[in-house]
Amino acid sequence: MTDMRFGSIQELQSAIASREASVRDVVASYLEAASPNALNAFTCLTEESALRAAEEIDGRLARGERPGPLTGVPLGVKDVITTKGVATTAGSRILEGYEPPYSATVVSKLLGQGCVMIGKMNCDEFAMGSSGENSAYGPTKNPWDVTRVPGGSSSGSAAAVAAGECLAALGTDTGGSIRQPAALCGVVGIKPTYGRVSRFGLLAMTSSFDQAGPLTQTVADAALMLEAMAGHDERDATSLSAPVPLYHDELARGVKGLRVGVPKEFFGEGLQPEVRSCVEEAIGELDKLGAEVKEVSLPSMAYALAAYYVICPSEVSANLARYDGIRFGRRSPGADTLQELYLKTRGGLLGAEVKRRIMLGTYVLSAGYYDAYYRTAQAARSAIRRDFERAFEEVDALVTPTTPTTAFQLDSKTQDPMEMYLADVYTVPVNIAGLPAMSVPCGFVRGLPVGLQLIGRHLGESELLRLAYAYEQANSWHSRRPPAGRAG
Amino acid sequence: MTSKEARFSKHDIEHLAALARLELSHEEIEQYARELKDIVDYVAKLQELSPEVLSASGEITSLREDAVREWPEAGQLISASPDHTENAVRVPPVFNDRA
Repeated sequence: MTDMRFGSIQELQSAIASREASVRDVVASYLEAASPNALNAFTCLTEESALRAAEEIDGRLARGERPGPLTGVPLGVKDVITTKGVATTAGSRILEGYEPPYSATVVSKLLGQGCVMIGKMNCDEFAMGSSGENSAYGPTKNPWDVTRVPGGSSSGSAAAVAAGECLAALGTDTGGSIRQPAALCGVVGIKPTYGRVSRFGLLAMTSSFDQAGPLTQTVADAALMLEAMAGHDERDATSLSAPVPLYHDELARGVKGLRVGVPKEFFGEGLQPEVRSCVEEAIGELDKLGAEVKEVSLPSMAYALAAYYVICPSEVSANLARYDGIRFGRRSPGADTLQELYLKTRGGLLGAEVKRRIMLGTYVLSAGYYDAYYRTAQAARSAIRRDFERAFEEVDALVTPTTPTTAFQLDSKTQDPMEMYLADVYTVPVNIAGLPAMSVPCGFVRGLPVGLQLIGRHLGESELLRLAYAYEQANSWHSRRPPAGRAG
Repeated sequence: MTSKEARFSKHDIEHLAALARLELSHEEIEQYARELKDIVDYVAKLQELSPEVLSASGEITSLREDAVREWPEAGQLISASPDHTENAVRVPPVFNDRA
C-alpha cells in the first residue's frame, strides 16, 4: 500500500480535494506507521473506529459533500483528555482501563470537523512531568535520538507528530507541557490564552493553569486546529466568550509594525550557549522580516518557578482527591475498611511525582504554612502578571528560548525532582499569567531541535501566529525529518 | 514563619501522607522527606515577598441556568466502578470490627 502521509494538513487537503487519496487510505497509512509504537508514543490505537470513521467520511465526500479544512486529519489525543468509550488512563495505573462516558469538548469539536482520532497519546502521569518518564506505561522516546526524552508532559503527542505517526495531536499545557516537548521534538505547539479553549473533559491538574492546545508540523496547521478548538463552552465556567478570530486567514498579514520584546531575564544562567545562539539568530531574522525588536525586563520572573511549584501542587492535591478507588478506575485489594481502601489504592496506584505534588500541596495549604507559601505565591503571581502587562504596553509579543537545553538523556534527571523542574523555567511564567504562547522550531544543535517561544498578550494568538508564520516561511526547519522518519 | 531551612522528619511525611490518604513504604517515606525538603527550600524564596490578597485569575466568566436536565446514562457511572451491584457502588465498611 502506498504511504499516504503528509508534511502538513494543507497537503492532505489538496490530496483529498483532488481525489488523489481517500481518507481511508490516509488513516490506514498513519495507523500502519503508528502500530509498531516504536517510540511508545501511544497508550492505545483505535484502529477499528478510525477506519470506520474514515470510510464514513469518504462516503459523504462521494455523495458530494465538500471537505472542510480538517477533514480526514489523523489525530492523536493526549491521554488526560476524555474520549467516550475509549480508555483514558492519564498515564496512570489508577485509571488503567477507565472508559469515560463522555468526550471532552475539544475532542467533540475536532471530530465534528472531520478529524479522525487514531489513538491516545502517552504522557507523564496526570500531566505532571517534563520528560515523559513519569508515565506508568513507560517513557516515550525522542524520534531525533531515541536515547533522549521527547519532553513532557505531552510526550507522546509531540513525538508522534514529529515522527509522522499522526498528522496532528492534542496536548495540554499547565507549566509548559505542550511547548517544551514541541521544542524538544522540533514541532509547533500552542498554549492558548487561559479560557480560550474549553477545559470540559480535561482531567484537571491545575485548574487555574490548564489549557488544551494543538501540536502540529507547521504554523498554518496549528492555526487551523486552534480555530476549530477555541470558543465559549457553557460547560466550562472559565471559558471566554470572545469571538474566535480567523487565525488561518490572518497568517500572511506579515510582521511589519509588530513590536517584539526580548526579556533579558530569559537569557541568563542555565541557558545552553548553542540554544542561545539559535534563538538570537531567530530574533535577528524577525528584525530583518520587519518586526521592531527591543529589550525589555520582567524582574519578577525570578519568582515564577517557585510560585508555580506552590500553586500547582496545591491545586493538584485538591483535584486528585477524587482518585480514591470508589467510583471509577482501579481499586487496590486487601482493604478491610474504607480508610484502608483509600490509603492502599492511592498509595499503591499513584506514581512518585504525583504523590510528591499531592503531599507538597497538602503541606503548603495546611495551617501554619499557608501564608508563608500559598499567599506569597499568589503575591508573586500578581507581580508576574503586572510585569507582563507593563511589557505589553510597549510590545506586541515577547520572544525567548522555549527550553534551557536541547533534549536530555533518558534517566538523567530522574534522581532529582528540582533539576527536572528547572526544565520549565521559561515556560511556567506564561501559565501563571494566563497568557498565550507557542513554540516553533528555530534550529538544531548536533541534530537536536531547538524551539523559539513566542508569548502574547491576553487573546493575542493572532499576533503570535503571524510572527511564527513569517519566521517559519523564511526558514526550512519544519521540513527536516527525524531519523525515525516521517513521509510527506 | 522564619526563613530557616525546612526540615521534614519521618513523622512529618507520615502526617502529610495520612492527610492525603497515601499509604507509603519506609523507603518512600525517607525518599520523600529528602525530596520535599529540597523543593520547599527552593520555593522558600517566595518569603522575600509579602503576602497580599489578590483577585484570582481564572475568574468565572459566565454561569449557566440552574435547570434540571435528565441524563439517561447514569447506569454507565455505576458500572464504571470497580465493585458494584446493579445500582450501587460497593465499598468496605467505615468501621470494621473484624479489622
